Amino acid sequence: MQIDAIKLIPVSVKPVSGQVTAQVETKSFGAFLTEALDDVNALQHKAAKASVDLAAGKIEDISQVTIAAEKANIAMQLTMTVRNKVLDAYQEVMRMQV
Amino acid sequence: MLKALLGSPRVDILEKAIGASTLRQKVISDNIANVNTPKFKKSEVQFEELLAKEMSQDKLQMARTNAAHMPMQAEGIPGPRVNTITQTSYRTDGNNVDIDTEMAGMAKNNIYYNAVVQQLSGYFSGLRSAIKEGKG
Repeated sequence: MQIDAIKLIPVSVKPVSGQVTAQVETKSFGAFLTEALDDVNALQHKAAKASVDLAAGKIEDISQVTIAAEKANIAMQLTMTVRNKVLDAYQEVMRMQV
Repeated sequence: MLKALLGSPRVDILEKAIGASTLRQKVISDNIANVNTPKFKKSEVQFEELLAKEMSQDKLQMARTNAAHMPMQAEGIPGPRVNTITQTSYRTDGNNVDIDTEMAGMAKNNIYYNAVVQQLSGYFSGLRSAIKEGKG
């Protein structure tokens, strides 16, 4: 009985004939991150403007200010959590024994 | 860096607004306390209009025909101003305090104060959580 040596077989996925693979537009992680940070920044600016307008008595409806501030707050917390997770993952990888 | 965080216009304006609101509370209390004082004239605090005027850019600018002319001083954030209303009279003894107006003004001031304090405290708690990297 002959036993084959273990070979590293590259995993290849062949598309089933007749099926067209959907072209997903890829965006680099950096571009995605920049866009997300810009969104967070815009929310922060909006909240700042709303609270200054409130102080100047230009706002009739206080709920708008509260909601703007809360949106900015949530976006900020999400950003910080994502950043911490990414850093944790990086450190985990760096600790890995090769 | 600390100055950029703690001395940002937003913090300055909100601080001034809280100060103006405190002053208005005192002035309204004074008006209410003197509701039965003959010849007393009520006062009121003007702040929001001054701030809104300062924030809008449509102020009159002085013409500068020579580069050596001094530019008009930027006034910065205006402080509150107390105006005494002397023209009106509500009763025959010369007093012009209307208790309903004062109570409504006080309730409005209360809401304004709470909203501004909430904004400032939200700003600071955002800064705090950014400093503590979202862990605090």
